Parts: sequence; structure tokens; C-alpha cells
Amino acid sequence: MAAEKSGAPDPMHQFDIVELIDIELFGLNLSFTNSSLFMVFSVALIIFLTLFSFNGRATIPTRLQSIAELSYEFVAKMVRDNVGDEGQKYFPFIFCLFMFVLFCNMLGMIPYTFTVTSHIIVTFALAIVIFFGVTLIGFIMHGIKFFKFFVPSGVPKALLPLLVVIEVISYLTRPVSLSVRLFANMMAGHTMLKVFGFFVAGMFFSGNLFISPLGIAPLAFIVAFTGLEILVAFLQAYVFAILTCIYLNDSIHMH
Amino acid sequence: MSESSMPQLNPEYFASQIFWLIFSFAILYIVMAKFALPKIANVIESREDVIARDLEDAENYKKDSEATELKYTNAIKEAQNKASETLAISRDKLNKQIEADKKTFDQESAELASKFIADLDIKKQKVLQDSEQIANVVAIDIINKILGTDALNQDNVKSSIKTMLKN
Repeated sequence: MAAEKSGAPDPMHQFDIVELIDIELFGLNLSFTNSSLFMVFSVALIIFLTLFSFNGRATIPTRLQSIAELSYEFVAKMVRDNVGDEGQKYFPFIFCLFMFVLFCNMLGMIPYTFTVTSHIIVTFALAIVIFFGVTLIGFIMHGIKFFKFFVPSGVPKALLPLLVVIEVISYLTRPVSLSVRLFANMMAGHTMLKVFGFFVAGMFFSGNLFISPLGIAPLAFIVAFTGLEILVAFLQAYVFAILTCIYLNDSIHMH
Repeated sequence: MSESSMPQLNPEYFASQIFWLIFSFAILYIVMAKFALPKIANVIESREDVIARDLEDAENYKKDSEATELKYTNAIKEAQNKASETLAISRDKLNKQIEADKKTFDQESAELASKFIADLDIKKQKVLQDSEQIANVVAIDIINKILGTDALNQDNVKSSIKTMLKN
């Protein structure tokens, strides 16, 4: 809003949180915002896709049912390949995680929508839950032996303290890398699209007969870049889910 | 807002975002784990069952058809064998019949021929005898007419004619 006042276009304006319904509980501002709206909307879409697209359990699926089945088998294969049979317990969680991130990313690709995953707090909340969950599973399954995870085998004794420190640090940075990867990808892509959008508008309405037609160039770039962003939206959801699978596998099977 | 150009770093709505994330994700998880995923798994499984059953049926039908085909070819082979056997038997029979007929025909014709030959001999003999008598009478008559006498030795004439006819 400040940007609009100053007249200069602000590509970060699209990430503003707007309160839709004021809610205050326990002294916290838990307002229903545009972010909340798109979270609920994503969840509603996923539920619609997976629950209401099934019409009488037809042997030959409808298109929507096919999408739901493909998603199911895609995630099931991911869990089976990366975690194995012990991972079946966690399949519903991985499925929800993948679908939630995917739908939030994809809804964000529609103009004038809000991208839930472009906020670090959302991705970090997901990542920290995964981090603690995975660590907890590791300690439940292996007890105190889970600490061996930080001690690589077959290295010289002299190097061991250094390596243990490195292993611990890399383990602790997992939630950070997991959340920043998703957040940064979504934010950067959307910012880039917005910046080029400003270029298009600025050039077309510049009033200069020579510059106006050249506005087609950034427009063409936006079209191509939107395709890439859709790929990134899918890819980041996939990466988020598969890294969760890999962390889970580390906890269940150690190395 | 003015101190940071990134709305992401504004902690004002952190609590709200976390709360709504937990709220919506929890609903999503419950619905997926309790209803949607078991349903999808069920549908996929039952479809796989149907496909497996159909494949099994197809395999059975294939086996059946192969057995039927084998039966059919066997029947055709058998029929062909039987036909050629029957053909050979009837050919043999016919050949035998033909041979027997030929034999009887040969016999009968030989009999007939010998009978004819015998007949012919008798007839020839008779003709010879008749011609001898005629020759005798004619010769005696001619001699009588030419010589005008009955003093002819008829026995001489007869014996000379006999020798003439023999040559």
C-alpha cells in the first residue's frame, strides 16, 4: 500500500496478508486472512478431488477420478521406493503434505490469487513439524542408538569429532533448508513474474511510439516463464515430499 | 510495514498463519486418512482384482479353445484316415471283382472259342464231304455227256477227285 502511495510498483505487494475476518483468541491475532482462505480452499479442493470424484467405484475411472488415483499411486510409489514397507504408516501424511503443497503452489499460479507457500512461516512450520516428527520416530524406533546416526562408520578416529559436529549441524539445518527451498522458489518466481508484468504495462502505456510495441518482448517472456513456474510449482511440491520421505527413511533405517 | 519491504518477515500474522495451517492441515489429514485414501485404495484394489480375474478368465478361455481346436484337428485327421482306409478297401474289393470277372470272361470266351472251332471243323468236314460228292456227281455227269457212255469206272473217278481235293 505504501508502494502505491509512492507511485512506484512494488512486486512484493502480492505477498501482503489481508485480514478478512478479525479473530482474536488467547491474546493472539488469529484472523482469517487471504492466506487462510487459500489454505482452506486448497484443502477443500483436495477433499473434493479425492472424495467426491469417485462415483460408484467404477472400474473405468472418470477423468477426475483418474487424477485422484494417479496422485495416490504417485505418492504411494514415492513412499514405497524411498521408505519401504515400514513407511506405509506414514503414507497418509506424505500424501497430505504433497497434495497440500502442490495445491497451494498451483493455486498461486492463477493471477490475483495468494500463494500460501510463498510465506516462510508456513513452510517453516511444516518443515519443523517434519523435523521433530522424524527425530521422534528415530528415537522411538532405535532408542538411544539413534545417536549413532551422527557417527559415520569407517572413518579415522582423529576425524570423528569433526565429522560428528558436521553431521549434527547438517541434521539441524534440515528444516531450514527444506522450508527456505520451497519459500524462496515460490517467492522468487512470483516476484519475477510481477516485475516483468510491470515492464509490460510500463512499456505499452509509455506513450512512446517506439517503445510501446517492444512491450511484446517481456510479455512473451512472461508466457514462457509461467510455464516454467508451473513446472517449479509441481517440482517443489515433489521435492518437499520426497525429502520428507528421505528423512523418514533415515530415521527408520538409519543409514 | 514500512520497515520491511517483505510481508513474509512481518510477524504480525505469524500466529494466524500457523493456526490456520494447523487447522486446515488437520482437517485434510483426518479426511484423507479416514475416508479418502482407504476409498481410493479400495477402488484401485478392486479394479486390480477385476483385471486379474478377467485375465484368468481369458487364459481359461484360451486353454478351452486350444483344447477344442486340438479335438477338432484330431477329428478331421481321424476322418481323413477313415476315408482313405475305406477308399483303399473298396478299391481292393473292386480290383478283386474286376480280376474275377476278367477270369470268368476269359474262361467263357475260351470255351466259346473252342466250341466254335470244333463246330467249324465239323462244318468244314461236312462242306468238304459235300463238295466231294458234288464234284463226283458233276465229274461223272460231265464225262458221261462228253463221252456218251456209261462204261465209266466210277470208282476211279471218285478216287482221283479225292486226291485232287486233298491237294
